[in-house]
Amino acid sequence: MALPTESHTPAVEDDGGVPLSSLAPGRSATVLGVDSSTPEGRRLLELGFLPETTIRVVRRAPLGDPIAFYLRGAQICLRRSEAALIRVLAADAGPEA
Amino acid sequence: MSAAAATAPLRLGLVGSPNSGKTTLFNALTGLRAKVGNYPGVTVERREGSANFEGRPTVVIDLPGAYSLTPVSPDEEVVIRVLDGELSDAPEALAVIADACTLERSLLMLAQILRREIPTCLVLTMTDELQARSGRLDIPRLERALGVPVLGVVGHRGIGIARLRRLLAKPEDWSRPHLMPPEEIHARAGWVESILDHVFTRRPESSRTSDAVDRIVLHPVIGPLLFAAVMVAFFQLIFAWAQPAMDFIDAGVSRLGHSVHAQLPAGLFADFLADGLIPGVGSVIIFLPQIVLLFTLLYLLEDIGYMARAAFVIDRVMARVGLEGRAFVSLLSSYACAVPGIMATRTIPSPRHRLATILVAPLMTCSARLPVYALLIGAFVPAVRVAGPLGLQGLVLLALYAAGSLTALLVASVLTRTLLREDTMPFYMELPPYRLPTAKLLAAQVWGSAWAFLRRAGTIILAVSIVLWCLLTFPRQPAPVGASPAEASRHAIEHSLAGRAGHAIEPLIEPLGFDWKIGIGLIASLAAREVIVSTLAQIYAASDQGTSLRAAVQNDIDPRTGEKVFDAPTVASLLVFFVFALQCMSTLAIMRRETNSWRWPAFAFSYLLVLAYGASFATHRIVESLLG
Repeated sequence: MALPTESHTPAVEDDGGVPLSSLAPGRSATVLGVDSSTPEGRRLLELGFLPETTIRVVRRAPLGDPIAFYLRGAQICLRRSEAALIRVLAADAGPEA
Repeated sequence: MSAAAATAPLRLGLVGSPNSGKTTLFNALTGLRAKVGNYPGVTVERREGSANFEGRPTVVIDLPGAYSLTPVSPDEEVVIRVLDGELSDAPEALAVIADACTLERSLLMLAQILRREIPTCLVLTMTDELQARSGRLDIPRLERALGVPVLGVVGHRGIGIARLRRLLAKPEDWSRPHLMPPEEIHARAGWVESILDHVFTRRPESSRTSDAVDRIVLHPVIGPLLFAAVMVAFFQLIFAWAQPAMDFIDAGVSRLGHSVHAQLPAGLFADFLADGLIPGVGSVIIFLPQIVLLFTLLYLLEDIGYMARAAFVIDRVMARVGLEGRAFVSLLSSYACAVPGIMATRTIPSPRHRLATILVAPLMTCSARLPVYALLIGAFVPAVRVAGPLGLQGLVLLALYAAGSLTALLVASVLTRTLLREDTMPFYMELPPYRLPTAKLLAAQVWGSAWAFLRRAGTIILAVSIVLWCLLTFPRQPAPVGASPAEASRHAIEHSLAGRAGHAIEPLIEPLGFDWKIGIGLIASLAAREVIVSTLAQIYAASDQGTSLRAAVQNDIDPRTGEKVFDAPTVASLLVFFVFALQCMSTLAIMRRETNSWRWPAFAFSYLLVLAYGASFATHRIVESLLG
């Protein structure tokens, strides 16, 4: 299947991107791309996890998973495994979890 | 417009994401005249209501919540099929409902809808909240940018509803977009961003009140404690508040039955009325206190915004057995009764998670098992102290609860790894801002659930209880001469179809240690588990279901072996059987309603029967060998 979004998921070394799941609460980031080879990834695109979207990590659940994010005016939670499908560029330097 | 279109009601579809305020608007537009049903072949609820806009009769279709028209969830698939006219007549006009604070996300779907070229308008809800979150939106500009009418409302306060009605009366006058939005997702995102830049003088911030509340409610330590407290209170209220109402209904039903016997001449008609029809109706309405109470609490927590937080807190735990956070409340409710518990699975968007939750809910120890446990434990487990205040009877009861709950989790984890593995839904849940609930919306939601239960499951429950009464009554045998009423009743049940079936299945249940009398009890308990107690009372011609029945079962001697029928292995085996078996037609009926087919209730019944049989057989053997 052709992946029109492939250009948005470049290799790690090029763009300084990290998986969204690795950011600590309080950090903000910009989406670089979503691995859209899986249905979950394509779904995340439709839900608004699109390139250039600004995302803030709000908090982790008390047991560490899922994680709540603020984007596009709403607070959304994803499980860590799903957040790992989203590559982001962290907005500022800081500790990574 | 043609003359036909002027007389036939206009079909107007409401499209919007979950939490967009769509249901509030639907209720405001239609009152409580919603017709609730299912779309053919799918489990998604169908809601339509009639309304009159400026003298124009209109059918308002409340389409299921959707984030996108690229179908992933069954709800979204239904939205598309309705728009295509596959599931019902296609709507002639659409009102897209969008929360003004999350307009960014809603415009992604609006772009897809505009491409379908149906007359469309955009209704922005929660405009008060947008202001509170310092968002500034230029609605006339948005209208010009999109090319379709845009209207801001505050649904729960009725602000803007009159203007909305005027707008909805004339969809043929709505403006159409000058330019078709792009289809491809990234291009669509660009289109959305350019519109947002144009219409927002200030984007909304995250809600400060909600953030402040969340810092406490989702605190790493306070969060779980609060969760536990809310769930304990939730469970307690269902038990404590529903029980008096249920006892009241129960007493009323039996009083009514007695007075029918007293008023009418003895005979088949009086028996049918007093022992068949009235208890049958009673077995339907007995669920109403629990259903009304459960859904009032459930929707209250949901409308406030806590339900999503609770699921957020517990999701990690439920994920271990392949379920998700929202399944927890369902399973907890099933401790009171699986019927409302299964109805509560509707909040779970993933069909796989929902089905797995439905299939294991009957394993949670419901209140109908308690009379059975009380009889057997009271009669056969000695009331001795084990350690401190812990008595042996209480420990056995606790073990029965634990066995059911642990099996439920185990089965869920097996099902989600085997039969129900395929799924493309990521776990995606919105934590909506905290909102004040409104009594009107709450009443509409609770009424909707209670009515759906009465119409769809109540009819099945009533029919089955009448069939069971027939099985326990026919063929009628004249009582032996000089028999007391209790003996006559025993004679009648022993020679009924169910009584014969009890004898017939004796070879099958003998390995479990059950005789034909327990067999009849098991057949009768298909109506509801606790019915085995009254049936045994009838078979033993006991004068009451308390001490007299307890003495009768304790002293019952098997004529062939000369030993007690209820020996330790048999009692243990029977208790275990009740932990697992799905002897509850109401649960089967509600499963049928919620999954829209007999396939899943049949599956649940079978797997739980196999489980019950196997576990009882093993228990019987083990206890027997332990006792030498």
